[in-house]
Amino acid sequence: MPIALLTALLQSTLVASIRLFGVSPDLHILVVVTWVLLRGRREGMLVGLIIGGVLDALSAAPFGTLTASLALVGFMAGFGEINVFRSVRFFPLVVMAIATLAYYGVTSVVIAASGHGLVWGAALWRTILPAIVINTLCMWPIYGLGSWLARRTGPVRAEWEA
Amino acid sequence: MKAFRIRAVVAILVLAVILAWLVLDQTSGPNPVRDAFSRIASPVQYALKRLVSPLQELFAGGTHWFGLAAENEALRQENAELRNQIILLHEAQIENENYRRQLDFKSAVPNYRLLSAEVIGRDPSNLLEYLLIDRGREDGIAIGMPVLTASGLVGRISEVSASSSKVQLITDSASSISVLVQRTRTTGMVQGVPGHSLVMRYIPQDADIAVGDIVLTSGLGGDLPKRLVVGQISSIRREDVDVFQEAQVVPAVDLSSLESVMVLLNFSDVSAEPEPTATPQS
Repeated sequence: MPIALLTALLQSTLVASIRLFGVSPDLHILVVVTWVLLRGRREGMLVGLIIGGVLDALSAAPFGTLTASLALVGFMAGFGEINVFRSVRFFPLVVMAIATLAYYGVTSVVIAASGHGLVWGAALWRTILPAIVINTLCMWPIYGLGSWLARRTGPVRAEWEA
Repeated sequence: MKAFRIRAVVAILVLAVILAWLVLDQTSGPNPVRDAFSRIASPVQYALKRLVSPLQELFAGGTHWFGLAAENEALRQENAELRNQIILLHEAQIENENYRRQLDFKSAVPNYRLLSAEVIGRDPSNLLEYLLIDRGREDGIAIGMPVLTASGLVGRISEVSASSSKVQLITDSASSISVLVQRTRTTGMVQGVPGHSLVMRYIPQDADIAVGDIVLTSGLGGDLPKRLVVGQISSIRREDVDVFQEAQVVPAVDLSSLESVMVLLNFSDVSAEPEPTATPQS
């Protein structure tokens, strides 16, 4: 709970002011995906719901958009738990790239459907694709940090070594 | 008896030497005995001094060691405090300059009733360009009020709560502003594009526009006051097959590093009053 709240607040203050290739890293997606991969789908989705709820209160998007998007991200990332490629070192990066695409897909559709003008081409080239790249690159240190914390704070999950 | 004699002779000799020493010492000339003794003793003294000196320093330092750790810690703490003070002073300087610019702007446009606000957050979604400011309904803010800095237009108030408000930036993809080019008075619409940029659309094909032209709000539509700086044309796209030209516009305000803004509280009254002629200075 404190990590989820801290993530939401960091995302809307510090992280949102960092711009790499015109976009800010999505700390909320990174945390949810990392959580799911390390602690399982159930916990991850719960974290996603909490972070999404706080972010929805701070965002101009229709209420519930970010909650639903992060819950979906948590659900989708959960397939990584049972995937045979789980032991591959760059597997978290692949999951992150897919999760970011799913997140932006849902939020874009909801924002556009709510009447908020969205220039699809510009959104794709200037926001979604750079966000996928940035989030995937950021996943490396975040997942490393998450793994380290998980080893120290909770039971170690059985994993196949590469 | 013999031993007594020897002792007496030795005593007499010693007394004679002392007497001679005293006599020689009293004379103004050099004392050859002292000189001879000095020649022998000096190198030995020098060697001993060299040998003992580090030990003396070590001993003197040793007595001081007990206080060194505490002194070091105190100095570290003092250093940290001084660093912190420098950072705070630097921050105060930046804040001061910012307020000075705002004040200059306020005096340049006396008809505007401006309320300063601090930026406390940004929209967590990359698809939306909004700011969260620390002023709300209790401060007299209402939806639609223009938000600006001394450099130019920032956006409009889109949502108001009791003590905070959301500002839709001019770069948000749903933002659309009626503008004109300062040099030629050519009108058009500036729309937000993701990535903190702007595009000016609906510029007639024959309109004279050039890179570097300043773009101002036109006031058409009544949703924004006239003559607020929006940005500067950075590139132009003109296709023969198109009905209109398009121009890329760089916002006058660096929207990615905004810390404080001003909300124009009396915009609705501006249309009834004479327009301020001052153009905000960047």
